[in-house]
Amino acid sequence: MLLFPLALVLGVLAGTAAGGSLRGLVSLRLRAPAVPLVALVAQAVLAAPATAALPAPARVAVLGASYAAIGGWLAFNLAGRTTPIVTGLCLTGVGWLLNMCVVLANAGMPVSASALNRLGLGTGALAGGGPLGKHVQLASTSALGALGDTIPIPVLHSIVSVGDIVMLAGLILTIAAAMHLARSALHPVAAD
Amino acid sequence: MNRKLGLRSILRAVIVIAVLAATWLVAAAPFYQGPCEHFLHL
Repeated sequence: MLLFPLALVLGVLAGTAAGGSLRGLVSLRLRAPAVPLVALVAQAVLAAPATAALPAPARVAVLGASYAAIGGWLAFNLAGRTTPIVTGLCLTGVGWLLNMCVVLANAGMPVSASALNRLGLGTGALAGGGPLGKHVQLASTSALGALGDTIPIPVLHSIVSVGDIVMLAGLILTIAAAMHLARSALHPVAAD
Repeated sequence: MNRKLGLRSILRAVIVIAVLAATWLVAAAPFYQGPCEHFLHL
C-alpha cells in the first residue's frame, strides 16, 4: 500500500514548493490522536482469523463504528485551524463519507472484477476480504457500485475508489497546509 | 537541550504521520496486492 506514503511525499513537496517547512508539520497538534489508532485496531481485529466466525451484522457494526470514529475525529479537529487545513480536513471528510456509504451499504468495499483483471488478478484475490478484510466483489446488485474500487492503478498494484482519491487529495492539502503553520499559530484556538 | 528538542520534534512528527496514516487506513479502502500484502492481511 504505497498510496499514503505517496500522499505524504506529495504533501511535503507541495508544502515546500509553496514556502512551508517541516517545522510547521511537526507543530500540527491533532486533537485526540488515539482515536484513529483505536479505530485501526478495531478494523485489524476484524481481519484477524480469530474473528472470522463473527456474524455479519456484528462485523458491519464494528466497521461502522470505526468509520464513525474517524468522521467524529475529523470534525473534532476542525475548530481553530487555518482555512487551508480546514479545507484539507473537509476534503478528507468527503472521501471518508463516500467510502463509508459504499462500505456500509455492501458490508465491505466492492472491488470491480475488470479492475482486478487489469492487475492480472482474478476474483480469487478477494478471498479473505483483501487488505484489512473489508473488500467484497462488485456485483450488479451492489449498492453505490460507482463508489467502489473501480479505478485500477497497475503501477501501484492497487485499485482505488473515488472516495480514496478525494481523501488522498485532502491529506495532501492538509500536510502541505500544515507546513505553513507559523510559530505563533502552533496551538489551535480551542486547545484540547 | 537542543538534542531534547530535536527528539521531541521527531516524536511529534512520528505521531502526526502515524495518526494521518491510521486515518487513511481506516477510512480509505483501496484494494492492494503486492509485495507488502501480507502485512495488510494481518
